[in-house]
Amino acid sequence: MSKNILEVNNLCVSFNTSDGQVHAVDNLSFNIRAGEVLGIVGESGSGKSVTASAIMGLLTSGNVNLSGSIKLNDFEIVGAKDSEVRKLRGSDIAMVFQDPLSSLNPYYKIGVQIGEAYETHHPDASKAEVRNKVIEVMKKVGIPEAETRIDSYPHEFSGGMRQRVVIAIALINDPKILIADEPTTALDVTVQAQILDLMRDLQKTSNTSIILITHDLGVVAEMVDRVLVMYAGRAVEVNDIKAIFSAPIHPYTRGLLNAVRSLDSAVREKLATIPGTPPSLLNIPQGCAFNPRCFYKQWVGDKCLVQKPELHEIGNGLTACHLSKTDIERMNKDELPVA
Amino acid sequence: MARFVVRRLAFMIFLLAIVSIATFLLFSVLPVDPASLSCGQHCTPEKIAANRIRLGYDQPLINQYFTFMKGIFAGRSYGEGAQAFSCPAPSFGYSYYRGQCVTEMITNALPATISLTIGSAIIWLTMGIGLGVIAAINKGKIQDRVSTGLAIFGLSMPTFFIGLLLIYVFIIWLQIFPFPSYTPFLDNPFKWAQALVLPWFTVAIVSAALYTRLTRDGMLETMSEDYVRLAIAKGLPRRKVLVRYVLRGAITPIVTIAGLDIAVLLGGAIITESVFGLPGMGRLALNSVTDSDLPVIVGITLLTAFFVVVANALVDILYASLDPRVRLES
Amino acid sequence: MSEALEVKNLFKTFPVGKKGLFSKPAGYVHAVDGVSLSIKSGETLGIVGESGCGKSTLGRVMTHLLPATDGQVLLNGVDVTRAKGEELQKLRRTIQMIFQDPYSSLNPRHTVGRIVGMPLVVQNINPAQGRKKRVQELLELVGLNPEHYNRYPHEFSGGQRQRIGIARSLALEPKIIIADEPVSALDVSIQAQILNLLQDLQKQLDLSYVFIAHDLSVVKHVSDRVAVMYLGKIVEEAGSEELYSNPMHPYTLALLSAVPEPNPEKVRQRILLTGDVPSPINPPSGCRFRTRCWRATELCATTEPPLVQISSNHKVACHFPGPTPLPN
Repeated sequence: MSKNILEVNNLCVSFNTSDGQVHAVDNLSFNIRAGEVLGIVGESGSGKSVTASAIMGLLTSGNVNLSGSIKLNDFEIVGAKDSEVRKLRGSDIAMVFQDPLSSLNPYYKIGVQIGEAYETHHPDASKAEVRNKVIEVMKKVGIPEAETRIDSYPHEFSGGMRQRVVIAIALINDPKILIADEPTTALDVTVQAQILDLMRDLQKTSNTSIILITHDLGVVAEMVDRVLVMYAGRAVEVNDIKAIFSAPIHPYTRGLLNAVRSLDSAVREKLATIPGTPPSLLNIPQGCAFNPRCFYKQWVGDKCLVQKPELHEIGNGLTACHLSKTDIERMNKDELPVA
Repeated sequence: MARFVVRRLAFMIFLLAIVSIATFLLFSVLPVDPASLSCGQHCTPEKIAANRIRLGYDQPLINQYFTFMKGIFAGRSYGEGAQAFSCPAPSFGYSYYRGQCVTEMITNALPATISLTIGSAIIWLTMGIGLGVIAAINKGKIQDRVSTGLAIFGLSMPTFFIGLLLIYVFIIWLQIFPFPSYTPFLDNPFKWAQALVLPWFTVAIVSAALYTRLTRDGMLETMSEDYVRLAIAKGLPRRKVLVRYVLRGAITPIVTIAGLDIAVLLGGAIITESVFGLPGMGRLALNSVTDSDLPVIVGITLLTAFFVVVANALVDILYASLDPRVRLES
Repeated sequence: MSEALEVKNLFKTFPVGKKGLFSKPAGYVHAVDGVSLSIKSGETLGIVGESGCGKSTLGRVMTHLLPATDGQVLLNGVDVTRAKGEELQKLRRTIQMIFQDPYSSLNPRHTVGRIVGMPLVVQNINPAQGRKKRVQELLELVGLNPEHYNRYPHEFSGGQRQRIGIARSLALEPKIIIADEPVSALDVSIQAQILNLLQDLQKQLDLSYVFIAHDLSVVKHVSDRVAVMYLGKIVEEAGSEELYSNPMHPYTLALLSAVPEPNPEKVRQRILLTGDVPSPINPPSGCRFRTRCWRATELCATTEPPLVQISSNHKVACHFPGPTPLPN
């Protein structure tokens, strides 16, 4: 069992806004091992992107309240000096964002932008060395004619190529963890397939750990080893990939899977939905945040309305739900509570 | 890029032609009879009529226009025989009031205005952008409020007030500077600077505010862009991110507006020049209006318009060179 | 069932760039390049394709938001391609549109009541029960609380805003609705709600839909028939069930294999297309897909394959159509 590369413990993030305090992440804990691909799944407002920013140490503005622990290989990121964290950014932990067009600086050539990532962490490198490294990583991510395209501007590339540039920037320093925040959402499906393929190959050859943040369960099924499901800033289920799809242990995961369409389902089949909408983070419901939309709270009773469930083990996974093991099995047998 | 430049310059020439026609027409509909200005103090109706013919004011407007335009390129001669004289190219006309070629008057006035404009531009851009950067980095904090406050304070002062205030403080009270008297740069650089310091700051204090605002707003907007986040995620040091990513993104509109501001100022800062007694275009313009010296007024108007049109074209070209996306024309 | 809407040999080109000193276009974008489709009353036609294929442009030409460059748009058999003025006003009562982004398609300064009621005002329609009542009926129809008549868009979630957009499109009682990516900007669980709503409304009001999307699994769920577009042309068209079980065109095969399936057990044989989509200004000669196609031969470079009917329910534009997914 390889050791943990990243350990997050009791992470809490909230923002002070003019409308009140927004609780974006609430008591989040999880680990990642070397070489593992962890998927963080959730809808808007679940806190997944804020978690990624917190890990990168990007949450530094005055209105952020951050507590808890984020340890990268035993180095504590929370509370560390920015000059220390900066050494990790782009070298030990790297990030890929969603929209490749807005992620790249429109004023500089892409060769310059990729090279910057290398120079920052290798300040003694010669110009020639940097250039060679840039061309090498461009070829690695599949950008054709690297020697000429190194002088192109971002707007001269297509969406898929731009995302490859962003991935090149992330990988040039051989990071231990790559955080990919919805890396293919803005891309066409055939391009998405290419990029996912690329990421999978690169991951296998270099044994990088990946945190893949997405709302697309199809992407998750293809790419990840384990899944962390988030809702309203909390982890509600942590499980390995096969279990998530065959026997989820949280009603929200269950609902998500039912609502997802796949090519296998019948034409014009009506979709099962989760009624209602995710809560506003200014006003998270008391007790379990999911309770207003949960079918199964009838099997538990009032506890769901007053007590926040904590993550505990059920089988091979973790769930934050008051349902007993037997009730979960009933849920997975498609038993529904009587109205 | 080359195609862009050529097209832009061609359009500029076209625009200049239109400006010259418009200016000419504008002055030809004024209720002032140019011929009556031409003979100075001792005018008789016969002399005016004679002058009208001599100077070509009886010609149809189109002919007058072409003669005028020709004068700009080839110089123009006036009078006949023993009284003939000419103004060399580019000739904007002849001032009867002063007895000088307009071009010569303008050429004498330009150095002071150029000195004033360039010096104050350097100061106001440094001050304005500097304060804007400080305000943006420290958004919401005291530095932000003070910087923005200072800028607005400067903007709300009338130019003459600041000028007079500076004169009072630095010349009369503290006696650091002597009373301003303009010396050309080549004659005595030190005295030249001495005479210009206070006027420079007068113009700069008033103009800086706009740039503080532009810089602050532009930087704040750019700071929330994804590519800035990615730069930080790469591990770039804060200063580099601020300059290469944030400021770089905000600077393009600032550059273009500055270009136009400077062009307008080159036409003369009337109030500042008057307060400090600088013999520049502004003072020349003011005096010619007071004296109803039409040819000079026409000349200055045309020249200022010329500066603005050229600056506009240059600024467009500069914008394209600063922002690679703009060059994507074909 | 009659043909509610028909498009015959439709072309839409946009001039692009400048050549020389004057504004002569350097080229043309052939956004829609000879498309023929028909939708029957009560039916849903899905149009699928990736960015740049022209599906959104096609939708806008059908709705007369953009004028067609050439070809015909027929409504119940009547040629309305060049409809103007009063004829166009009447047309708008029959064909309406739902837009993709629920955040930018609603005027943030107008109340919901005003937004949904605007079509009635513009068309000078005064329903028997009054406009306000009608608007409230519409709000209820799409699952919103009619008492929210006076609220502003920013007070609603993305899914609710999309419902407002749908209510607005129904105000004139159209027969045909062109939905341009109506759920792409929404969360997964909300997408399901909106898709179900659209299906319910179709039954209730006997609507025909043209459902434009890039997400193949969404399209399968709502369409009776599906057309696949590539670079301005239709490359395959078939009944929904038929298309997904018997795809024939290589592009359709690649598209289907590229969709990530929410099933970790399934072993996918993925066809990876090489390269990028060619420029729509200078599409490849002959078959446009040939530059990325593993079946391409010389014939494909010289002759453009026509869209032919290969069975009662299935049309393909390919010289070598067939279900084999693996490269030859």
